[in-house]
Amino acid sequence: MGSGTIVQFVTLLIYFILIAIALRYAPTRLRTLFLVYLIASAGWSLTSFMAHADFTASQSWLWFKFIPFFSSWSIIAYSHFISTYVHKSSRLIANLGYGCLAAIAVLIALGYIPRNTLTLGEGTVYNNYGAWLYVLTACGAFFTGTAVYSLIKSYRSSRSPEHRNRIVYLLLGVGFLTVFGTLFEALPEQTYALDHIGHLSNALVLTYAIMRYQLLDVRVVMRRGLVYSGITVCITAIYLVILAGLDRVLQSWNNAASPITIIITAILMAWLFNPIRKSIQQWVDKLFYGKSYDSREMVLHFASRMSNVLELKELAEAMLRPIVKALHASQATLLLPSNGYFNSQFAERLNEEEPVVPLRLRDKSQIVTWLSQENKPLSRETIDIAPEFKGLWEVERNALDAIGIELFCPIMSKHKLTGILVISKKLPRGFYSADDMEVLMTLSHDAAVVIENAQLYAQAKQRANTDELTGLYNHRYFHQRLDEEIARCSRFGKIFSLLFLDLDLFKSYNDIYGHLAGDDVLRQISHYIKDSIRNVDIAFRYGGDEFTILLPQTSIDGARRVAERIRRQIEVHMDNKGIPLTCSIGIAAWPNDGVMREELIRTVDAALYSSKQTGRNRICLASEAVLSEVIRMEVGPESSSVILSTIYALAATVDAKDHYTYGHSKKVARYATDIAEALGCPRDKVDAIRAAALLHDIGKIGVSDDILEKPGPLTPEEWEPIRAHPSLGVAIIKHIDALKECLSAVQYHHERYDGNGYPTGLKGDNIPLEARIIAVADAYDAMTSQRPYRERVLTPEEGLDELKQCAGKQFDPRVVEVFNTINLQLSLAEAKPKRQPLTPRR
Amino acid sequence: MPEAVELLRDGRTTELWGKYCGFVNLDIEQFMGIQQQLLLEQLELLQKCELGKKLLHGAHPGSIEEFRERVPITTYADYTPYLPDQIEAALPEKPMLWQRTSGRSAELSFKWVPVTQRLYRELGDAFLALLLFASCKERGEVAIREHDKFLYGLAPPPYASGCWAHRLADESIFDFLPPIETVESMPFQQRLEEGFKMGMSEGIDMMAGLSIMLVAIGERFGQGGGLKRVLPMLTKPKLLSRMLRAMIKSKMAGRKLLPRDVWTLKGLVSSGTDSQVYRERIKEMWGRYPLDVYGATECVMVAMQTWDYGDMTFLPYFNLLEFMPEKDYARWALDHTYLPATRLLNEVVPGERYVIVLTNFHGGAFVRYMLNDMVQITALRNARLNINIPQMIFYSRADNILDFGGASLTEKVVWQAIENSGLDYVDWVARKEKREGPILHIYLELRNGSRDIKEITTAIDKQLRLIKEDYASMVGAQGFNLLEVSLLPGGAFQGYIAKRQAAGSDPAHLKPPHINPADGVLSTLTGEESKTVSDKESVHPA
Repeated sequence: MGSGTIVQFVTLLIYFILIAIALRYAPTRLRTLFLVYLIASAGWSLTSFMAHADFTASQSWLWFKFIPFFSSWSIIAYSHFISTYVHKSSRLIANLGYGCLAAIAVLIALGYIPRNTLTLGEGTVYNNYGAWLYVLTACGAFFTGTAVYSLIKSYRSSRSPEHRNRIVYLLLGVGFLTVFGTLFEALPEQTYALDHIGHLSNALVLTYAIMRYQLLDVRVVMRRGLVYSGITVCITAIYLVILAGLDRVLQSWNNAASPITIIITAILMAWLFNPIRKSIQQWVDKLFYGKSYDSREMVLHFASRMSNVLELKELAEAMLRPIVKALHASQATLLLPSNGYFNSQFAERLNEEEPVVPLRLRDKSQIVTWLSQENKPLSRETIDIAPEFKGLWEVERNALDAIGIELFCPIMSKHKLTGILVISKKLPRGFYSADDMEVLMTLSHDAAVVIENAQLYAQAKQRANTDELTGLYNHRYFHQRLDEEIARCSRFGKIFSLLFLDLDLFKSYNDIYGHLAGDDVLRQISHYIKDSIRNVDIAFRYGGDEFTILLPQTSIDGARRVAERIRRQIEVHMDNKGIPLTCSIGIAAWPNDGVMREELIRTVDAALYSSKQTGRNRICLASEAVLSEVIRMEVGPESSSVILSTIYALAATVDAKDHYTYGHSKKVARYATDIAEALGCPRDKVDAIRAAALLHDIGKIGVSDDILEKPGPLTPEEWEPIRAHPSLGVAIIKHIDALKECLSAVQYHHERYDGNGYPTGLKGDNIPLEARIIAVADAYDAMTSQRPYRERVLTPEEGLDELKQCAGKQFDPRVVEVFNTINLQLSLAEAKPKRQPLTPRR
Repeated sequence: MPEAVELLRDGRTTELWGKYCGFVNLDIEQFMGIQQQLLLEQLELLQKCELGKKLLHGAHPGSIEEFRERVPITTYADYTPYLPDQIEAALPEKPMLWQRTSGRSAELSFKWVPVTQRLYRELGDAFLALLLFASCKERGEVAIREHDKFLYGLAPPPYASGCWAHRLADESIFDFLPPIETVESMPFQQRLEEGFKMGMSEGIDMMAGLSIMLVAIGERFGQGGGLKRVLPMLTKPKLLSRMLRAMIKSKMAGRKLLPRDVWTLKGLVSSGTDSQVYRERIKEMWGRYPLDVYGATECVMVAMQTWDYGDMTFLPYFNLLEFMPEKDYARWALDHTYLPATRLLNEVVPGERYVIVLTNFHGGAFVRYMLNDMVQITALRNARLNINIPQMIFYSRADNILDFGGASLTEKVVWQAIENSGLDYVDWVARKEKREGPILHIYLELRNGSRDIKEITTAIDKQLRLIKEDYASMVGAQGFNLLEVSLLPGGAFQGYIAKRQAAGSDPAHLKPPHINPADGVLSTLTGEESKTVSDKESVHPA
């Protein structure tokens, strides 16, 4: 068996493999023509191989006769295939070609071609065509020429780089055929099977073009396995040739030893050839994938490295970077489901300096539906061509263009789409092969499990860090996050502030309205807090009715503004809903108010405590709390906060005695403060009025619940303790120096401007201003809140009208006018919703 | 995405077919899925614009069902002043151009219709699909080639068909005869003549035109003297060779010269009520059946024939298609406050007739717009071609039906009957008139001389009976003749057109309406009254 025969044999095997694979796919006109070409070429190789093989020596003349037929058919079929491929009208050329072929068949049958066979030295046999050789050569040259002409013309007219690439490879294949064919004809002795080498080269180039550039659109036909098969065939052929040669050599030495020697040699060579085969396959991979080979390997081994990954970020890092490197993708994006959309949550670009372009798809988008149903890669071209994507929204189509998306790969877990891997254009100007898609799908399958685990883990982690009632982060996570923030700020020299928020008298609310209503309020409060802070700020439920808010990179002044916003939000919204709840807030800044976690918490807690002590519904900075502590120490024990706190608690208890008056004193305090400020009272007087308003009904501690809650009018006996409650209030607070400014207000807040009030019957401006202010505030709140003795709650407008009607009689007209103006401004500024009456628990 | 011409150059015909004609592969669920998606997109646009807010009446529908329940049906009057005054800022999307209707039978003399960039783009896809269907014999076959010669015989912009031509020219596949950029200022007649002149030497591969125009050209084709006509061609060998071949063909066939002897068309497209009337004559003259398409300025395209030249297949991506049953339409026509239940394409019943109600996609302006066209659903699928989308035929303009109680006659039916009767006529009009009872009165202008009126009446009546079973049974049962035919004087239609031209009428309004012409129009045609006909008079008040 000569080297020429081996080439023919190898070529034959490659064609058989190509035919076998091509037969697996649905025939189109182009594929059919390609198949015809493969069959003709395989026939040429087969006849040549059989003609030259030792074991067919007796019938070799017959095989020789077929060689010119198959070789001509091969060239004509190739020309036909090419002209059809480039979409050139091919009927004339094809008819001419098959006419020539028929003529050649007739000439062969008549014995004109070949004239005979010649034997050279060493027994090499070849066909002698005589003058017919020129005819056959001319015929071959003509059809090869038409193929080349068609290819060049198509190359010139095409603007598609992909199409041009394919044509370049087809031209290269034709080039091999022509060069080796010419050499074969030119050399005096046709002993080197040069025509078959050209033929084999063309087959290999076609294989490469089909695999790399999707020639024929037979994307899956020519995969890497095909090349492996070819290589395996080549190595096996070489192996057999070497064995055959060895056998001959050994036979000339010692017949007895040869079988054992051959077996040992065969085993040794097999052992040696296997690693060679592997190395060659690896080399082929590198040849195909170039610089991306290593990354591709990394992608393929993704699953083993990702088995323990639970963080989506880690997954994205491990997946996206190798993808962009391996496939030369301009961008790889991971879309994950969230709120009715698939959003790009992680992305990598090949050129890291370029900004990542985000993408968002509706979960009802046809792309998402298609991926869920088909579970296979979706190319941009399919989106542009397939009619089912006609319903794609323009905004989505534009987004695809903006990112230059080429491929979508579904990430499915348990028949559910858990993510989408989006691959943008291949750089520079390439396109993704079937092999690329296979790699991506393998990766997607592996990623599906990781994503599902990561999502479950994230959910569990979220649950572990979240307070179920409010949806805010919980106490445990607060400490963890605070430690992290302290560490971060220590490292980078940043600052942050911390707020502690506590609802005022929430326990009483819970007692009156029940824990379900209390829970509802807590949910609402958390909502207002979240609404009042930035995305980077983090709110926690510290426990019970206490909340904390971490404000990264926020100074104490900034924190005060945030705190005031929160306080105001809660006050207004609660008031609008008829819920008499407010909050007190303490603020501390890191590192000024404490460096260590415990120290900081202690300081902010003290600030909160201070704001509670000084009347609630207010904000206190840690530095102010320290100052008030110092003042308290200086003033002495008689004005201690303990007593003050007791008094305020007492006032709240009075409110709480009666469901109807719950929160009453706080609202009166707010109205009275507003009036006092509007009247231009100095700060200390405003504070005194505020305190007096809070305590104005403290004397009701001595009035029985039956009287307070009586639905109908009171009897003269019942009026007695009611008329006495201002004096009793004064008796309670008069021993506290800090409250001495409040005494007159508490004493006279039920006096009437016309002198018909109680307890002393003072008239006009003889009534202290503080008392006249509180009288208006008190009456207004009583009218606009539910009371047992009144069937209907007055609206704010009706309440104001009533005040105006009583101005000069019951109330100081100036105070009423000011209050009216304040209300008008407030209603204009806030356009408050109508207050909803609260239904208290009975 | 490669354009059609690139796909064609690269020989990627499968992709080319899939991209443009792939909608015939959809099943009804996929079809409705596209409709749903595009409607939701359109609703988002409508809710953001002034016109949309007005038409939606404050509704925020989130599905087709909700949309149909909450949004009333509209007519062009509901779009005042936004469309007549072209107030672009109030529209869902800024239009790239404005088209106008021919105006016949409209509430206004004509309607302005905005076309967005996206509608324009889709229009190109649909038109190319039409041409691919017109030129193929089987699914997937692409017969068109780059630089095929295209003679375009439809109206210029701002009429919709003119925009179609411009959009197709953007695809750079065809060589227009004459080039599209040179015809803007050319009168229609001159453009056609120039096109045919070029076609004589260059050849014509594709053609689009009104059916009546194709017939008229075919009829005139063989006229004119032999040698006298050939002599000037001696200097133009290509033209000469084409004509000689054509003349040999016609001589061998023993008949006069026909367009099909000169050109072998790859595809022929026509549109209009007369397409079905003249299809056999067109096939005889031009060698191909014309492929019919149903559309309107307000909706671009609704449906088109496919390569079997049978019933039409709906397009999913221009409009949400709703179908108002015929009887509901009758009630709605009397009382516009009545909100009839419409059907979607997956709810239609074969054999039933419906009036089309449409909502534009892609930023178009029309919302639940009553198109006043009646179509008949013929089948839920085209079994022969395995197309799983309901099939339709155009029945009539909804307000163009001559109702005789037991029988209703449309323009197409009357036209077909006159055509099939073998009369050599110029044109006709028909009205429902009262004698002792209602009658169908056809006014006919014959081309050559006159014939016995009884003979003509009998011939047309016979054809009407053959075409319309309900007419036949009604006339047969009542035993009287429903038909009356009057002959118009020679040149009646030409004279009418001349008067209209003199009055400065729009080219689209030169011809009288076939059905129910106004008294003034009829007087002009009969020559009883000689006066200038105004625009308003050309539309019958009924």
